[in-house]
Amino acid sequence: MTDQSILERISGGDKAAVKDCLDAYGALVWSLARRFLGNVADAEDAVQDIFIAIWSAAGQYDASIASEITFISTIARRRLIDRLRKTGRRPATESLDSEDSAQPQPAVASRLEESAEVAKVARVLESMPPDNREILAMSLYEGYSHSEIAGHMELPLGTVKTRVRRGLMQIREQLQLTDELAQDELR
Amino acid sequence: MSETEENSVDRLLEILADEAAFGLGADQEHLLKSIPDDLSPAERDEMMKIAGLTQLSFLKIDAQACQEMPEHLREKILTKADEFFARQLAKSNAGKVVELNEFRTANEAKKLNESQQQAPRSNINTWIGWSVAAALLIALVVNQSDFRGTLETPASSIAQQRVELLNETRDAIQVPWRETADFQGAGIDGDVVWSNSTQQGFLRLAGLPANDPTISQYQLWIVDPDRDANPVDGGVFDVASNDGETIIRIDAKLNVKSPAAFAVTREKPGGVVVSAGPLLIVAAVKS
Repeated sequence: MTDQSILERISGGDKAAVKDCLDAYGALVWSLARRFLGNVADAEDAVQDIFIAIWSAAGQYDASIASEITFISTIARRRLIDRLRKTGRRPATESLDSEDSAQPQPAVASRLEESAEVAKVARVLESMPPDNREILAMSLYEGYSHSEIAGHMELPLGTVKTRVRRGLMQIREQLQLTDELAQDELR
Repeated sequence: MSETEENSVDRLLEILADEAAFGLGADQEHLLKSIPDDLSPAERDEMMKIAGLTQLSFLKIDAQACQEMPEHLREKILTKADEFFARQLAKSNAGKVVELNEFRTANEAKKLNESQQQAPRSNINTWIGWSVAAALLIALVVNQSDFRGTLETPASSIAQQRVELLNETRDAIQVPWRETADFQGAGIDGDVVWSNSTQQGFLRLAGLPANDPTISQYQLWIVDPDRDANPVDGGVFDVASNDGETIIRIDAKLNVKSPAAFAVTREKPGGVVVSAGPLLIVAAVKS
């Protein structure tokens, strides 16, 4: 057994770690991509790009700065945004809902449950007004553009932009606050 | 903090939030160029990290959306992994463009780490001898592993990736090559494109004489005084032909903080751990 993280093993050239990486994060990245791009074909392309990016960046991973799941989700997000900006959010050629006949993947949910950072953010989201939370979900989770959200919610474009910005900043402040409190407790 | 400074920080946070939500248009990319230099890449990445965590949190709420990756996609990715590792491990051959992207085995990495920890400072030679622009003289001390360049067949994708890095990465720099006193008259053309935030870059070279890799190979060094007096080994590479352009991917094996210059030397096959120079060409980053 090794104490090294999966990313550290990949960085060290341990090819077996690639399979471990897919086992641990494949379903998670796939689920994020499907929901964000709204199109299975684009999601498949994006997920391949994301994993290559993860292997390439594995050497930059520092466990003292971020957890693996955070590191991987940040890389995934950048790649998904790049793809969306290049291709736009294309209509689904296959219904994502019809795929939901597939069984949900409990390991992903379990991995998300284990992340303290995800739990903190979830708590902040729960405290937000439902409208603001919906706007954030459409923007950050479902990949809709600000103007698409404005049309759907019948809100001015500027209002949507402001609420997304404020939502992110609120989460940022709360995370910083809980970090400070945790440090104070250690002192 | 003055009111002006506070407004500036607020505006910066707004831009970073927009970037994390949906990326930036060309107009906002321009605004990001004005970000204070002392803002570290980690700080700049923070908003993207928060957006990523928020995305995960929504996935956690939307448990039904957590689906297994299709088996055919998993197979495709594993095939790509094979290609990725093979490319990283391939040996140099003449007549090809080199990609500086060696992927080490776990054992090699461990040995390297141990040897670096054990290497006494007295083994480190000082590497002096380059002047560019304002007669910059930097002592270059090399304490690096002999990462080897690997092959990549010339492909438009490398040229394309270089252009994408240049156009789509906000902190990408483009620095032209200059010949040095030791290497005049070759008519070197080309440049270095480098991004600190992504730690990626490319060399574009025309006019550097073709080398016989059984006799000598070129080696790239990245000078980063903010990081260390020791330049970072960028790996060895070959130039296949005296004609045309060669594009090489840089994969710095150590994190580069603020490159002051990129330099190329000609070394024995496989490169060297400690170079005595001379520098053939240099791309100096304007401060």
